[in-house]
Amino acid sequence: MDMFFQDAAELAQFTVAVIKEGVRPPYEFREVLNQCYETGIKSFILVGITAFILGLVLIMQSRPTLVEFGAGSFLPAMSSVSIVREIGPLVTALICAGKIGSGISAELGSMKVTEQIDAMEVSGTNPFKFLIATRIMATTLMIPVLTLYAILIALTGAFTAASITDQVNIGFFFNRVFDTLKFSDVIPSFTKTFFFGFAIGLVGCTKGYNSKKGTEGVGKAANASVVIAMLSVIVIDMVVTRITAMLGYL
Amino acid sequence: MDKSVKRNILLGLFVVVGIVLFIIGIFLVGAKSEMFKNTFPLSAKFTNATGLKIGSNVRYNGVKVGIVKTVNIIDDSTVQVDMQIEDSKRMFITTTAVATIASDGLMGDKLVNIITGKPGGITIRNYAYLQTHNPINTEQVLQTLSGSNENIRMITENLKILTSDLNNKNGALQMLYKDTDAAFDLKTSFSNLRLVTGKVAQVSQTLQDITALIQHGKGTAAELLNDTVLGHNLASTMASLKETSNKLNAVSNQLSLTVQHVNNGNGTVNMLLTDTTLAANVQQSVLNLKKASKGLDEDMEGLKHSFLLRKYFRKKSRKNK
Repeated sequence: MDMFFQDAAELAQFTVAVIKEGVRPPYEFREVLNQCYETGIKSFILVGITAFILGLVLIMQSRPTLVEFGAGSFLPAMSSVSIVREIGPLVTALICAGKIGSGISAELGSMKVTEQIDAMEVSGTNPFKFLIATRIMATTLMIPVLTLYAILIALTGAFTAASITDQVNIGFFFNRVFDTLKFSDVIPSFTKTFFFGFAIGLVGCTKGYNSKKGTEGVGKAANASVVIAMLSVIVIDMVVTRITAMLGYL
Repeated sequence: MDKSVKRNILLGLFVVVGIVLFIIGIFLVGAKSEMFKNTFPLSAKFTNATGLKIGSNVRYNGVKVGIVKTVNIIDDSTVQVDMQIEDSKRMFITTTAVATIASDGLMGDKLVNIITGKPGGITIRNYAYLQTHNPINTEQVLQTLSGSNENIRMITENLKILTSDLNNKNGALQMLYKDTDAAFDLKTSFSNLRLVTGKVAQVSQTLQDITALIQHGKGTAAELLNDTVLGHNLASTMASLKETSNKLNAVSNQLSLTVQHVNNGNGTVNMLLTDTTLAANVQQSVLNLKKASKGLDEDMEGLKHSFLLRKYFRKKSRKNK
């Protein structure tokens, strides 16, 4: 219990510090781009493959039940709402929490245990601005973009599965997909991905920056980062869904 | 090219393509939500708008023409549904058009379906209220089905009783079903029935022939039916018969009265009929008369032989010859 509150306090302090350092010039654009490349481009293949398979499996699993109820024609509508509202953002965030969150935590932890961060401070470089704010900015910006790709690839996977089992025309499929979607599906879904990205970056940086001395501490920090980031993503998802429902969009 | 530049170009491409995809997606979703089209407002009032929500489709004869903008409760029995309709479809929607709440398929979302009304309507204006036809709700359908189920239950129970009776060994149906003798009798009956039917057909044919003859004025029956003189005579005869009958009736009444008087009165006839003493006296008188007559005959015979009258009788005998 103490650990929970300790982690919560660390996260709160970090959030305040990151926002303060992030908005204050000078800005580290080059490092932000570098981190965007690391988090966005290097996660794309993993996110893409996962999204395609999930779209494929979603249709393969749902089709028998829908066909049994005589609602086979609802497959595109069902898959679009599922993927856009929940599967795309959540799966992308969880994969990124595992890959990017642990990577950031391990990298910062290693820098911490090897005293590179201390050296940066001595050399006059603000580690919060250069290491932390840029990474959090990168995850906050890249996870929504990755989510867009994940949704498109998952819908392609869904279409592939539908065209394997049934003779589905691509025009018909995507027409039904966009016919079903509303702004009330797209906007909350897209908005929450920014919060997912921020949470993943924040948790990864917090755990890495505050890791204890030694390689064991780096491992623990990476592990804790993944667990807390995934939990944060799910909690944020629940809160956003609740807020969306309260606003009458569900 | 520098490695960092390559990375930046790749990253830029990655982000730009992502943003373009997002914009295309927003455009497509917006186009389906009538966001980029000229629309005009319409409203309709329903008593029940179950399942209808903001963004639900509005169709005109099955073709999407708009979306539901708001759903508001006006009072305890009225729900107002405001819609956005494509301006290009305005010309088809007239003041006589009727809005109903329907489903997109059996399990699909609820939608507003506008159907063509009676001819003679004019093109509808902004903020106009469409006529509505309230939908049959699921509860009503289930209630009807419940009634049908009850009927089916009763029918099956009756069928059960019927089959039970059919299986009853002493029952008439069982006899018909199983008894070969009964089946043979039935077969024979049917055979007889067929023969009778044949005869009936023959009789019918004969009657038809007779009718044809009558229609052609041949035979006595035709004359009876068609000859007006005979008819007149018959009418006269019938009138005479009626008159005779009336007279007979009067005579009968008089006789009846006479008989009544005879039966009830103290006259001679009644005494003759009822008084046995008088009857015996009369009988005795008749006997006496017979005796007297016989004596008179003997006297007459004696007179014929009398010398005083012999001459008269001879003369009469010759005259008779």
